[in-house]
Amino acid sequence: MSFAILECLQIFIETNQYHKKYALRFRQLLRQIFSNDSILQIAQPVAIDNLRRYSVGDPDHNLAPVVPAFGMILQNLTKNQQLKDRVEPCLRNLAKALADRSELTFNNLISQRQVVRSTPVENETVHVHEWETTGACYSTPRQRLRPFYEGRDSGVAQNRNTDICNKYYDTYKKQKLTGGLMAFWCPHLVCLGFHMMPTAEGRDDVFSGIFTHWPKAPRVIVYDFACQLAPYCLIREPEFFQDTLFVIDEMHSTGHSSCSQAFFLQNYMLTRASLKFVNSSAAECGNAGLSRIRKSVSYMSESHAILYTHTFVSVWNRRRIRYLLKEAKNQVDELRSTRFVHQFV
Amino acid sequence: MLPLYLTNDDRDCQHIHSAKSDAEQNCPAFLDGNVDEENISNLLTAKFTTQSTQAVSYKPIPPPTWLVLPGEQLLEQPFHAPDLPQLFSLDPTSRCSCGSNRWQGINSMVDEIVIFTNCTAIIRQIETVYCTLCTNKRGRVGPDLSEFGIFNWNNRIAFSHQLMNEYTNRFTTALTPFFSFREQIINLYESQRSPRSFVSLYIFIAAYFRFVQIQQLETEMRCLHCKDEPSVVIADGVSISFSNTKVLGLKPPTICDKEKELVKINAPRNQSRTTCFEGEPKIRREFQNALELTKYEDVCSKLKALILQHQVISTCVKG
Repeated sequence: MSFAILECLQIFIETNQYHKKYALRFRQLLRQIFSNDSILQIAQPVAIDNLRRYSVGDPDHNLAPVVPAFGMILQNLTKNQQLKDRVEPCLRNLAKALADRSELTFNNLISQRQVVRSTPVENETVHVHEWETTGACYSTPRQRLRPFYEGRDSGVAQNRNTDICNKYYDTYKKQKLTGGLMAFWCPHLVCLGFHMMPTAEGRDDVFSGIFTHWPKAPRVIVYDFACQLAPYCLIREPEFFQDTLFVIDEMHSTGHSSCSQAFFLQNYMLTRASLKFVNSSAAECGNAGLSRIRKSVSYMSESHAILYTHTFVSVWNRRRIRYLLKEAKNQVDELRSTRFVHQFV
Repeated sequence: MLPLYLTNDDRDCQHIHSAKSDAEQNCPAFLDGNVDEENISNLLTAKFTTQSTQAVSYKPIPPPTWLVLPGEQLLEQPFHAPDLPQLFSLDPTSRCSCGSNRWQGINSMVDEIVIFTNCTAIIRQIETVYCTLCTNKRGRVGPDLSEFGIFNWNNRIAFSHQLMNEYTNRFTTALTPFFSFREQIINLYESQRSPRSFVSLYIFIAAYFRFVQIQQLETEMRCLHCKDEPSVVIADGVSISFSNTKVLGLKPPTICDKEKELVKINAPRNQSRTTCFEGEPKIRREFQNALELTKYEDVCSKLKALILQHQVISTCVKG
């Protein structure tokens, strides 16, 4: 065990009586460090520079959004200079250790990956209404093909590791039906794409959907099984997903008992302004809507099921866009009326 | 001038397209002229798609007014039954359900057409001519009728756009299967003393799917606020599924082809051991359990004991 961690443990034991909130935050950081989660989740590749800057003594205001566990401790330290002087040196050492380990792990992932053959997607012919037969409909055309990952995609059922979180969908176990629908939503409840799954593959569906249709990986992916999605994506495409944060939405986070807070969206909401008002249950709302067609679709042929689902999603998106426009208009009107009143006052 | 005898290649009939498409999917060798017993057997035992059901109407149908987005050109016209003409005449854009519009110079005939609306059936006359291409089906060329807010199914049966949009409205706001919607319409027709009863479920379903296929409902699937590159994406699976036996050509993005894209990963399978911060899983688990205790006093005493147990204090002092 490294010196930095032991030092942190000792400091925690010595200082936990100082401040309740501070002790809580420190404990959360330690729990993340001792969890089975990948270092790339605790300290994302984008956080390496921030951690290094902090470790050499530069005050880095961008550290808190990328490593909230650190940010929250630092926030609580500002009130007590004596405690700050005592704790900060060990935190700086820990930041350096985290940055080193994260960089090493990320570089290892890249070096372990070797592209044997690749075909540009331009060679593939794409039809306008291809979704009617393929069951995959996205806002953008296919950007790249999904590679076969030798050494990972063996087709053999994955060994269940007792150390990791095992969350499986019981509803997909009905072998007589197809695997369901994988849908991607934006926080404003607009469906960005979906595909029908012949068999439920979980992580692979999210990975493939984003990797093949997104020109650039999104900054944040919220998924109820993100604890397994993150390593799945990072080992296959480390460079594509290097800036992506994988998090579990607020509603499902309680079910993940063996995952650290590094995977919970609410952890980042405290320090990242862009995530503060994110409706992480957008997918649940969308899926609740989609459940209205579950019964009808279960009796349909493939082409009808695709068309019916597509119609539902199109109507849903139109309703959402109209709602967003109306909301924006109301805000403008409100602003105008306020200005009008101020003029007279 | 039409040729007297049309060869199979010239004909544009649904059954030929359907057979060709099925053969192409299930037994490509058959189309190449490789007609051996094995190929014939493959073709006979293969799963076939149901023959695509086309309608006479083919022009793009506008989205309902309650779904129109700013900037859309194609707008729905209000449907007024009393304004409908007694006779729907042929026009240059008329065509047959097979897609043919070759009808010039052929004698037309006038028949009855039943228009099914939200609350009653309306009977009108329609001018049609026999299609010169699908003579085997005695298909007829008829007017599109979209300008009247009508979806012409087969020159004998038509549906108002309003009725079809009503079903779209119902099933997207509450659980409404086709059957229950049809039952509601049947009851309405009865109370309105409709001159004709509503169509069979099979016809309604077939017509509805053709209707939404040509309706311009598709959106860009883009959010106004997130624009082209949404920074936050929420993924979730939902059990909207159909029978496994009906799967024909689903191609999810998970499908990969070794011959086109192959990446080799030389890493151990158990990733959590190699990518976690550090230490053995057992030791980490012990520390984690200690940190999860409720009381701080218990946490500290347990941590102290663990540090001692693993004899790491000496390492710490050396460091």
